[in-house]
Amino acid sequence: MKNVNVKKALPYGILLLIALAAPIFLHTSYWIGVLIMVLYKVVGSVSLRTISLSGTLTFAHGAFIAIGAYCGGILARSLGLPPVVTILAGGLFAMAISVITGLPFVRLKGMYYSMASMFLGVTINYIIKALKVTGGYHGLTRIPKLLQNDIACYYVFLALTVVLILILYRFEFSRIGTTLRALAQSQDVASSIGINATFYRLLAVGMGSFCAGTIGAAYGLYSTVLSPTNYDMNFSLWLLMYMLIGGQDYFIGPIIGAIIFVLIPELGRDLSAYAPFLTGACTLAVAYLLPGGIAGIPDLIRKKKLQKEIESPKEGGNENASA
Amino acid sequence: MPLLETKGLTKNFGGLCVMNDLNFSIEEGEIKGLLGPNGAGKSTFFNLITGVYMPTSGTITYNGKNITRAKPHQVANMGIGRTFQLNPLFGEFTVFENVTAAFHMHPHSTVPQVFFNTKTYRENEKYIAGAADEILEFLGLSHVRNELAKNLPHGYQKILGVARALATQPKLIMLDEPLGGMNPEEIAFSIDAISKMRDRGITVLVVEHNMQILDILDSVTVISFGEKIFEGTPEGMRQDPTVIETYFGGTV
Repeated sequence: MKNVNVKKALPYGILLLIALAAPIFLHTSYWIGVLIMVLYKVVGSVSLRTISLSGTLTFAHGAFIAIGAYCGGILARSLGLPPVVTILAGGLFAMAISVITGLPFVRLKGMYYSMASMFLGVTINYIIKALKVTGGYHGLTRIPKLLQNDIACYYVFLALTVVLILILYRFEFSRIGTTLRALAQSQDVASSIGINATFYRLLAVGMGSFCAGTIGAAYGLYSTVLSPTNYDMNFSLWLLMYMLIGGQDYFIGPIIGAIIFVLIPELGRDLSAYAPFLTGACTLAVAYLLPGGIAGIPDLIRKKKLQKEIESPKEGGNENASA
Repeated sequence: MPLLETKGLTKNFGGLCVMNDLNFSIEEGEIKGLLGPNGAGKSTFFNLITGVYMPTSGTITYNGKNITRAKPHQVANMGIGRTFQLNPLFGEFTVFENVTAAFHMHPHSTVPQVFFNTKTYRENEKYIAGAADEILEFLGLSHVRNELAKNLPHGYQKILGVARALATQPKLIMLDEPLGGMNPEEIAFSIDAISKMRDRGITVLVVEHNMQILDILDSVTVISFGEKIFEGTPEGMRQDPTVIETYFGGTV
C-alpha cells in the first residue's frame, strides 16, 4: 500500500523539486515571469479539469479567473488591503459568482452546458470592459505589487499553487470525486442512487472557480496590470487545450499540458509566430496517437506490453506444435 | 396501510395517454408483479413513481408521505431503489466501485466531512466497503469484484444493477425486467435472489415478461395500454379471461 503511494507521489515530487530549483538557473526577471505564468496556468487548467469531472466542459473558466483577478486588484488598489485578504476575496468572489450563474446552467446537459458557459464567459468579459470600476477597455493599472522581489514573488506563488493543487487533489480522490465521476457516466443512474446532480455539479463549479479566482487574484497582484483582452474566449480555450493534450483522465494531465505549452514558445522565441500551427499539429498528433493525452503514455505502454504477453504464449504453443 | 399507493395516476405525452387513472398499491413485505404486454406503460409507471416523469394528474403515496412531485434523488433517499430496463451502469467503475458509489445516502458523509477526512467519514467508508462486499457475495458477484463494469457479460451487468439498487438500502426495490436477456442458470439464480430479498424484509416490485417469475410472486397487477385489467394472485391471473384475451388475442 505504502509503495503505491510513493509511486503515485513520485511525479509530483519531481515536479516540485524542479519548481523549487528553477529560479537558481532562471533568475532574470523575464524568466521568473515565465515561471509564474506556468504556475498560473497550471492551477487554471487543473481547476478547469475539476469542473469537467462531472462530465461537462466549461468555456467560462477564463472569465472566472478574470473575476478573481479584478476583485483582488480593485480591493488592493482602492482599499489597500493586504495580499492575503485580496487573494482570498478574489477566490471567494469568483466562487460566489460561479455558483449564482451556475444555478440555472448546471441543469443543462453535455454540449448545452458548454454552449451556455461560452456565452457566460463572453458576457462576463463584456461586462468587465463596460464597467468603470474595472477600468473598462483600458484595464486596471497601478495595482500594488505582491512583493518587490521577483524571486520572493515566485516562491509565494509556488506555495499558493501547491496548496490549491492539494485542495483539488483531495477533492477529487475522495467520495466527492467518485460521485462526480458517477454523474459523468450516467446521470439517470446517479439520480436513482440518491445523488443530487444539481448540488454536486454546483459544488464542482464552485470549487474549481474558487481556485481559479484565487490564482487569478494572485497573478493580478504580481503583474500589477489587468487587461480584459487577456481574459477573452481564447484564454479559456487555451486552458481547455492544456487539459486535453496533457490528458483529461489524469490529475497530472493538465499540469503537464500547461508546463509544456507555456514553455515551448519560450524555448524557441524565433518560432513564436508559428506557435498556433505547432499547437494545432501537436493537438492532432495527440488526438491520433495518444488518445489518453501525454499523461496517458505510461498506461498506453503498459497496455501494449500486456497485449504482447497475451500474444506471445500462443506463439510459443505453435513452436511446440511444429516441433 | 400499503407501502406504496397510487390514486388516479394519469400521464399524457402530448395527446397520447400512456397511463390512465391507475390505482395501484403494494403491501409491505410482498413481491408484487407488474405485468403487461409491450407498451402497456410499465416502464412509464416506474418513471412516474421515481420522479423521472411528473404525472399529469393523480397522487403517489409512499410510506404515508405524498411523493407525487419528488425528484428522482429524493425518491431514492426515501428508500425506493430501482433498476433500469436498458440497464445503464457506471461502465468505467469496477463492480465494487459501482456498489460503493451507490452507498450515497445511507450512511451519508457531508461534504466537509469527506473533504477533511474526519473520523465519521473514515468509519462510514469502512462500513461501506464491508457492506458492499456483503451485497456482492449475496448476488454472486464476488469473483468479478475488480472487473470494469463495462467488460461484464450481460447477465452479470443486470445483476450488478440490482446490487447497486440494494446498496441504497431500500425499503422498496423496483426491478425493471431483471431477467431480460439472461440464460437459464442466471434466471434461476436471480429468481432465488429476489425471493431472498423478501426474506430480508425488502418489498419488491418487479416488471417482467418471463413467466417463470410467477412462482415467487405474492400478487400481480396486469396493465394494458395504461389501464389496469387485472389485480390478484398469480393463479387467478392464469385463468382470468381478460388477461388471456390481452396476451393471446382470444380464448385459449
